[in-house]
Amino acid sequence: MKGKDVKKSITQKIILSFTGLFLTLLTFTSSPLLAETSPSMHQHHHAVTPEESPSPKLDGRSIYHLNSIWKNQNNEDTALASLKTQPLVLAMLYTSCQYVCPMIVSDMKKIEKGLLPEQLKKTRFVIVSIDPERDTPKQLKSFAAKRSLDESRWILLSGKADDILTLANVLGVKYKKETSGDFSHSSIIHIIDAGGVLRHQQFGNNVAPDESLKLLKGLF
Amino acid sequence: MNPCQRLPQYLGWIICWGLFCALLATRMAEAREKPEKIVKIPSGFFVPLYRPSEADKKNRPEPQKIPVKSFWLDSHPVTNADYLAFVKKNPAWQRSQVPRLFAEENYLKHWQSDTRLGKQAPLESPVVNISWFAAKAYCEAQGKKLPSVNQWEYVAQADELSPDAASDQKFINRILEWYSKPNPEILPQVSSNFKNLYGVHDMHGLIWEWILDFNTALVTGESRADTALERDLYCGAGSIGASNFHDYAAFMRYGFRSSLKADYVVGHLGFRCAK
Repeated sequence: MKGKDVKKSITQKIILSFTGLFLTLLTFTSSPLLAETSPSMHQHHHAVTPEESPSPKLDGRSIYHLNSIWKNQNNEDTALASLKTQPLVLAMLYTSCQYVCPMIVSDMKKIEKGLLPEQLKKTRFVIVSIDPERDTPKQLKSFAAKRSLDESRWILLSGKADDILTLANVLGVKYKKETSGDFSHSSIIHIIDAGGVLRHQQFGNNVAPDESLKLLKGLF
Repeated sequence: MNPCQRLPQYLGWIICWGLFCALLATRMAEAREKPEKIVKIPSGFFVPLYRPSEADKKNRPEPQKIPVKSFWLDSHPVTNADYLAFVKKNPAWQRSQVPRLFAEENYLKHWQSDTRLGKQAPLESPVVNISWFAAKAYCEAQGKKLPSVNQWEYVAQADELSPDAASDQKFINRILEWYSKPNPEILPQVSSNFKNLYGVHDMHGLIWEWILDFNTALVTGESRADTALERDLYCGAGSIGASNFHDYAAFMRYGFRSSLKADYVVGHLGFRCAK
């Protein structure tokens, strides 16, 4: 009986020792006590995925790999993805702009005038503001009224600074806020197909819409 | 009970303790060897290369100094080893998986495969052939950000002894000499060359680096005299005119940035993160 007890106690102690060893290994391979001094750098353990699209056939170059959410001129949450399935005529600008932005909108309207009614129904004209501070949904709504934009197909978006930067970089739009509060920025109208792929860019101002229209019509 | 009989009891504890001590020793040795991976940059003032506007020039004939708040900057560029760890955790950013929108086809072309570095990509060399989107995602995964142009240039103007060597022609010439050297096919390790006053390595002499707001560089010409925005292409609220016509190295950096698109990858363009 005593022999058995001794064996049992030795076994117990060995088991305990290895448990202790295992726990020690666990603790010290990730010890906060031994980390380098630095500001806390939280490892974000969730995967950073560029895309969480439900559509299996998204082209690799589609803008819909972005999953940003914006506010439209009616202050409604508008996911970028909600613009899918329609060709887009899109420009990034800001409403307080007195130089070239009014001309960009006029150039977009030239394209609008060049489409047939059934083509118009399927096209969306999108203005994305680069000045979210001043271009609130209310301001965008008032701008749409001022420029007589048909809101059944014109969508004006206000969003977060980082989402604006990312979209601009997807489209190759440059912009810089000056100390005056005004922006220097590219003057571009983008034609984007129903799948979100950028198909044409119209640079400059007071440009004839022909080339853009030709391409746009080919998308229907 | 004699000691021999007690041995099995003690064996477990001896192994435990021995391993514990070994682990402790190696971790402490590791911590001592690694240089600070992130460095605190003190706040200060900085003269941006491009002056705000014509109107501003009239009101303030002297180049305007803008304040830079204190921040943390990686002490060296992100390495191949660092980036490999990131793509292993985030397979959507692996070479064969990344949407073409976020990186052009030469993305990580110096790596052997999706998750193998190979001979062209030493562990401790800076990761290059990386797009802005990828660099940004990496920094965000670390809870950091890409540095802004002002943050980056503010640190870049420091040499070994002074926080502001931007007007030191000798320093500018050193940098220009580095820029004029052809890029080696296999990049050397980080932190093996130039270290500035703040303890930050490789701001010059190794690679060019992505910054968060590279798309604010609106220079359209390569010549340093050609600093005007093309009026047809840009709505110019007035960003023209350099504050320092002698810092040609800075001109080259701004010119380079203005030639970039966010999905581009370049063999000598990498990045580091800030917080």
